[in-house]
Amino acid sequence: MGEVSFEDFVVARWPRLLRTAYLLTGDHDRAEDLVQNALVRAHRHWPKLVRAGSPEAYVRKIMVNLNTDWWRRLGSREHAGGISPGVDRPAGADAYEAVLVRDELWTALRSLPAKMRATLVLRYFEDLSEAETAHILDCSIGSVKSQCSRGLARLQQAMAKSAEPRAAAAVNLHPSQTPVRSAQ
Amino acid sequence: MSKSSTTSTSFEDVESALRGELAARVADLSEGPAPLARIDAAARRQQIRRTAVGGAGLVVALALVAATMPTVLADRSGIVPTAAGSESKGESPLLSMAPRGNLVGQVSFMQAVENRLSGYKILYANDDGQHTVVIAAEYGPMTSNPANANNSELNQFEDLVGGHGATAAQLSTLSAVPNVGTTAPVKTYTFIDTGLTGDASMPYVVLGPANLTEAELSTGVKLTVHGGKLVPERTGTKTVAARDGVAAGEIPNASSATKQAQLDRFLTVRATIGNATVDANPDARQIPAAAADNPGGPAYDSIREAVVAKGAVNGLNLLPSGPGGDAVADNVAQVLYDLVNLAGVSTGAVTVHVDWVGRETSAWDSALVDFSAPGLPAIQAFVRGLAPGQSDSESPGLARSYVRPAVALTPGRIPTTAAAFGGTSEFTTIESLQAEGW
Repeated sequence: MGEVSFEDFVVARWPRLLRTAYLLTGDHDRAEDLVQNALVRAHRHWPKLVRAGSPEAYVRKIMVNLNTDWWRRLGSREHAGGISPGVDRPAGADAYEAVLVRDELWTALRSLPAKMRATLVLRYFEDLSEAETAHILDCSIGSVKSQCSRGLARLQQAMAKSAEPRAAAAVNLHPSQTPVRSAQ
Repeated sequence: MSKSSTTSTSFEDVESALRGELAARVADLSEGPAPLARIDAAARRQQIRRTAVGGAGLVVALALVAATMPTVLADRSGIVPTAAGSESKGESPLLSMAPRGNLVGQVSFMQAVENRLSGYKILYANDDGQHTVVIAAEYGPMTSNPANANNSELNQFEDLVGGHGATAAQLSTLSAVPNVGTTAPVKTYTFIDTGLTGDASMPYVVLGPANLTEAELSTGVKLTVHGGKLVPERTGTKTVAARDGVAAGEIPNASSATKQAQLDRFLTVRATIGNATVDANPDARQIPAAAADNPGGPAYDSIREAVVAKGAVNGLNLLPSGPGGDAVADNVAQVLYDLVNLAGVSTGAVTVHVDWVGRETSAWDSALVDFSAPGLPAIQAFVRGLAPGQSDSESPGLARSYVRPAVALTPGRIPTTAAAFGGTSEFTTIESLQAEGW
């Protein structure tokens, strides 16, 4: 790997790191803080990271670890809420349900323990292999597999739950009644 | 029409939905330009803070004492106030002192260093026969405190290191020194990993005012029991006499990863200035566990599973999902990792017995756990975690847990056992004991 300046790296990688951080934290401001803190730590060891040839992996690893620390220190799981992006207002029952299912999925994702959520983000957003994910999470491939499986199972439960009551609600929904779901 | 309630969603469906949702969530994410200036400022503050834990920080701390200002070491939360504080340029007792070290008289060397460190004042230049160390500082704007934005403060240090006999050009800045990384002892000029193998040592410098008489270095900590309480004691101490306000030397055999990790976690400096003592703790001590110890191993998973299983027996059905989730299980695992770090043993060497897990109140789940680790007294922990559905306003969870020497205790909810634990914040976690013990 050639000499990459820290500044060039930050400019080039900031958007992608921010996206990953947002999915890890579920909060834009916290995501920015997370990336910044990770980059500050990387800055201290930049020459070594460049020599090692994997500064981005290192930064990503710090992000995951810091987020896990935050999550653990808080000892809580946040309430997630809000209409899913990309859909301004559902026009009908099916669209409405689709939005709600997405919301449930997002809410369920955010409620997962930090490590489990990170596992899913690395696997299904970053498209990292199990081995790469294990390296970043500093765990075994088996642990990645189990975290993935448990995480997906929880999301599966959430999606099933969301479908159940709303199926009944959708049936009774008058076409003129466009439901509005306020952000929690 | 909508799905029926009996519709099942396959894992493949979940995976597909998850990929789509993750992509959609970030598609509209507001992405401004990278805040380079902010990151750079934060990096500088971080360097100052790290510097404060060792030599440079102690330089600042000692100077503060000399100036009868409040101790900087009380501020553990962020940037350490510098020697200049809100004073203007030129009032720092450090910068008013002549440069120290045995290289100061070498005019050509000092001139070459000055040329290299344009704008910095050289505070120290020394060759101890093993390493050459140069410490310099300059004033700059106090970026972390807008109220002091107009004041120039001693907030930038430059540290150069090299081998014995190195010329100015051969010295490396700390950030460029090989093997200075996450496993390096202290990422300041006080302790420098030169990248040598075998019995490579690391130089340290405690640079203070003229009435700095000695510095005591401690490279370890152990928990003992005094008066029924867990008390951390400094170990591996070495007292170094100061000359002309400087205590310097080398830590031998410091290049191994194990030794570096130990120093990174436990190194402290206690300086004597006049009749006062000033403690400096590496900021690494504010971190409960090394990054590598974050949740993610079989031991972590197994202890979480044990807590969940015990909870089920005791009537607490830890929800597999939802807010709150299994916070208490994670926090118990964190205590385990704190112990592992403190004892310097593997997780497998720690015996864990989960006595009780239950719902303490509507806000808290709690667990009573016994830990036994080689080299440590038997420890009992009462660990809390937010109950499902609780908001962040109830956090932090781990900080509201308690540890103490293990004694016979009837397992139960914390209201009935808090008295036995002391019930005060001084009995917090191992992490807190490590960080706040001195």
